[in-house]
Amino acid sequence: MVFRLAVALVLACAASAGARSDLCRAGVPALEAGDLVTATRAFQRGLAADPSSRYCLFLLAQACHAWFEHKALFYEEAVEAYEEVLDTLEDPELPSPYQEARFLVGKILVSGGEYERAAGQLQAFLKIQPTYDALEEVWNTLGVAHYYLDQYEEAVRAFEKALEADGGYGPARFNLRSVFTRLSLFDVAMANRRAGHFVPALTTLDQLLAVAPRYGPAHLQKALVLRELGRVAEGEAAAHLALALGPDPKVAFGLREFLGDALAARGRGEEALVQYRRCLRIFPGYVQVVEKMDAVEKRLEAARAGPLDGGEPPGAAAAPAPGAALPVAEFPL
Amino acid sequence: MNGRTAPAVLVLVLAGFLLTRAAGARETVAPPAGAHAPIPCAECHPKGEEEGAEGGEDVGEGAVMCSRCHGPLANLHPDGVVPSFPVPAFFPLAEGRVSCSTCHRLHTPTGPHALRGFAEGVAGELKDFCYACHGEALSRINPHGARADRDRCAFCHASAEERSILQGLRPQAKAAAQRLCDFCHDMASRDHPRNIDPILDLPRTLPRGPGGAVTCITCHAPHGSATVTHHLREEYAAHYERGTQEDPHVNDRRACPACHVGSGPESITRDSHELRLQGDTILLCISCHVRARSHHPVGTPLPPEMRVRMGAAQGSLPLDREGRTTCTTCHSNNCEAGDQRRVVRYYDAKKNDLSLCWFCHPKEEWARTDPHRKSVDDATDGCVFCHDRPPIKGLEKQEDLYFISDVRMICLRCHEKLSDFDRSHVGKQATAWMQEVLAQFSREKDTTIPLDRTGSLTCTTCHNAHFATGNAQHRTRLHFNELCVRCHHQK
Repeated sequence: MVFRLAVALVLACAASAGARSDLCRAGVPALEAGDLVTATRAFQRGLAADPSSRYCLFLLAQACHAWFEHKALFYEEAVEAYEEVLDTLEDPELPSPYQEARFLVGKILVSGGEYERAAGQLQAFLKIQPTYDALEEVWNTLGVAHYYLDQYEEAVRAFEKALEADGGYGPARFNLRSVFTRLSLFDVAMANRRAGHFVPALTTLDQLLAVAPRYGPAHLQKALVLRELGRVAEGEAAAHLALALGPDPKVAFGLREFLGDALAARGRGEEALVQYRRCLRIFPGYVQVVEKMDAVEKRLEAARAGPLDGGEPPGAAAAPAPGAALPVAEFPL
Repeated sequence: MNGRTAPAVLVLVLAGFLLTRAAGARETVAPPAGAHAPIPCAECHPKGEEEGAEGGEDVGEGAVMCSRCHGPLANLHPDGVVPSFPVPAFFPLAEGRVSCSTCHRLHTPTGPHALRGFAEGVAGELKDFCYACHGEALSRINPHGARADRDRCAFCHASAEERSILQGLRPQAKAAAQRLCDFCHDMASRDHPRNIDPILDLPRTLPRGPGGAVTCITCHAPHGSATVTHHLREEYAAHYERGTQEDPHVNDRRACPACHVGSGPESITRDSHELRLQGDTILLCISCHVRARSHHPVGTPLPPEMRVRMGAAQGSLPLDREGRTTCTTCHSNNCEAGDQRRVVRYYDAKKNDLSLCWFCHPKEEWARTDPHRKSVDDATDGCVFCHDRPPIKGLEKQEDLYFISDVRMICLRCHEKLSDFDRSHVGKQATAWMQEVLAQFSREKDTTIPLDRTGSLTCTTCHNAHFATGNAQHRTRLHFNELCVRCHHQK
């Protein structure tokens, strides 16, 4: 459907492009009929006759895209051709029928597993063409990209936007259910944690992580729940695993803070400081972390000065006790 | 003895040696155990290898020739290669190269497929096992990624020549789809796809395996899908969605299949009315009421004191099979009364009577609590009275603030007596014009005039739960004179 739409739009643009475009235009019926060999040859001939023809390049990109969808071939060729089309735009920020290439490249990038690049292109497209005819498809594709990036909240927003554009668009509804299957587990775990049911909370988080192993918030919550259960070492292992997955900044912040607390509680002040500093790199000046760092540094200084009266060596910083609410910096409400 | 498994026995023996060496007991040979236990050592290990193995760590595939029994195509993982990244010591290499014994331990009790790590607790599932070696690079070797060197095709395909594909020939798979997919996904262990669709009611047009069998690629597109999650084919999603467009909250039996499994309305009766989605009412409700997620906790077991309080409802507030709250604890489609329509049990929206809530929650206790004046350090009535976790200033977008529930529901816990004025505002969808006005106003005043995540007016749109600014009594964000006229400037 998208190909047909794109072809129709570009045909209108190319109507005045001259005889050289006719070579390409001959391939359009073949592309629409799924005869990719004929279509590709026609577009290649047209492009050979006029290497600067944006029209032919766009059609060739779509032919390569179709090849990819049917035979898993010419992925890179399609992506490059779409990007070349976009490079030829006089003003890449202005609406144009050729902006369609931005959506299509986003679409093929999602299929190809390049989700971050896809999300960038699709967001740009939505900004430039907010009244596009098939808006539900664009939002849905963006939602799929976010889904695979384990950015479930963003995915939900995108799928809901798709349904706003077309309430009967089945794939978006199906996809929403996919996300909710996961987020519902997270909600249940959070509700259990709040209610002090840490074992069922942990079980639910493990269930979620079995299907969404890169979902950072679940890893963070798992680490926190394990701490509540007194299984700090396992919590640390969960936090390290989550950090290796490259979570988003707010999750990374929580994980680093958790690790800092755990290390401080075990008297490993220097290592705790490393974690806290990394927190501050994510969110400079966060009061709570600065206070924790001060406490750890004081203890380290005291330790360097030597133990007093042969008593217990200072080391363990004041890590929050299980169940204690964390103090927070003032926040913008 | 089974000839297929015999050659691996030597590996078992050798690994036994390795284990005993590690334990400082060189002179003792660990008896073979596990799947290869009954097989004599010599079946797997060439003559004289035992002595060499006893003195050395390396037990490579060359030494034991696993493929002699398991066949040349048994292994899907690259072997004989020098890893491009440091491999944990837990996975022994054979002369610096990956071999069968890098991943498989054949002598001692092990995990599925005789894999290392399971018995030791390093891995609980297949993905943990793969991750233990590949770490975060695992996603980069995903064979589904299209921007790959062509080698990735070779993970699944024995031949994937571009020329032959262009000529219309199908690339040959290395193994049956199920086996290829399970190498990483291990879905067979979860009884997939029957765990999702017990009757495998699938469109006939979807591709089938040999003999018409349903395989992984019947529903999934291995080369990716931009339309449906889980790499599912769009046609499958469309088929799965059928019937859900009906509104089940109307008094019409034709609407029943929206929630119930059945070939038609006539097959759904009072005595036989299995719910879709394996009877998961939470998922079933949310699948349409997508925006209702999280407006009240569901799926949680009731604390004992709540159970006691709930006794007063005499079973009219149903829990799920495991005694947890669910959507239908408070909501009903009134099917029992034979008059399908959406209702909230014990609730009269016109009166805003919250009797329903007090079947579980302690009205008096909440009335005594004022979270607006609590310290952030308060473990029960501070931030956590309304927030799931403390927000991180500067990192949270407005819509990502972690509330324990829908904002309106949170406020209603204590502010039961809403005025007509309140009720006329809360839940009203803000028009695009209003949203623009509020956004502009927020910028001008360097403040936030938030809507809820559906773009509707909520309590905190006008009221500030933390810092009274405009009006001390009502805690409005700005004084009425300034606030109201923004939207009601013509009045």
